[in-house]
Amino acid sequence: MKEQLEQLIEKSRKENLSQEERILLERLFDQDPALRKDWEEECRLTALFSLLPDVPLSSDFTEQVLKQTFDVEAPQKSRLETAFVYWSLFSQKNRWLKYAAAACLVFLLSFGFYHHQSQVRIHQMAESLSTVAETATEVAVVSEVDLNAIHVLGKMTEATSVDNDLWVAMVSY
Amino acid sequence: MLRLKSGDRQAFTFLVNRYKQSVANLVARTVGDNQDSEDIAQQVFVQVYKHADRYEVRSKFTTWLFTIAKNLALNEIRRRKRHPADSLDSVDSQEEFSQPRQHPDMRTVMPDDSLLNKEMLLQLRAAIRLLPEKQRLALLLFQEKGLSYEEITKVLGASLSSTKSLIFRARETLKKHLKEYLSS
Repeated sequence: MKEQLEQLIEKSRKENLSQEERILLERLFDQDPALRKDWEEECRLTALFSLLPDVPLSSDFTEQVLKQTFDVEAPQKSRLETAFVYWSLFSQKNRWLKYAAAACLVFLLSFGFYHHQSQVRIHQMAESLSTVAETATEVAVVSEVDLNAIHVLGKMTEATSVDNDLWVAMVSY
Repeated sequence: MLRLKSGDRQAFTFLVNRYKQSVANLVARTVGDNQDSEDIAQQVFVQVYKHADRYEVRSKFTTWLFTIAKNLALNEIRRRKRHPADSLDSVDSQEEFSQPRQHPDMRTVMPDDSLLNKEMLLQLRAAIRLLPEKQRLALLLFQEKGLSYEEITKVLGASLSSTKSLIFRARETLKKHLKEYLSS
């Protein structure tokens, strides 16, 4: 019965009840008089709600909404447009441009590296030549004794700890 | 709404003008006062425009609109709970009633001698404010906006049975608070 009353309450909020529905309502009230009280309270509550005044709004409410909506949209659009311009350079249509740019970049980097390496190599070779020239000059005037000493020194670097006594004897000599 | 989805600004203006009062009423009564409710109501429409692409044509526009309004109103309630000092600035219910109406509506015009009506409405607003958030929302959507149970379930994101339960409990609470006015 309560459920039937609920359905009738819901319907009565939107439209007038039909004759049959009113008869059904009266029948429900006859079966349970407390339902009449529920019904009347519901009606009064609905009526109260309908009396609630509207919340006051500014007269330029709509203009403010439009301003907030479209002013926010505009700067974003220009950023999007800028991004789109850059992206369109690399889109499917201009793929060749992307590949050409990459190839140029690789070529430039390779050439730069090769050039740098060449310069470094030339410098190193020049240093080597000057060292060799200096050494050759010195070697030309080295005496027999010095050559022997160099030979001995070379052997000494190969000496083990067992030859340490021999090393000491040779130095004292 | 279809025109809005394709970027028609006139369609958007039409929607704002048509539903602004409805949205503002829902937001103000959910939040509990008029403070900031106009700003929130404006934000509802900004969100409508921003997310117009998400609107599904097969569902009712009012259901979608009130869902956005509900979310923003609940966000405001939670924000006020986190910063309770802000709520001290809220408009007093008496002051709310004395504000001049900008759009007189025959439905809301009260007879000069209806002090009792005025008192009842004050009590009604106070009683609505005392309801838990979900019950308050469900009741406002049911009683004020005339949405069906099915539409309210979509707005609240709840089941049909819990929606009916929310509305039933809210009405019972209101009837209890307004007993002397409803029975007179």
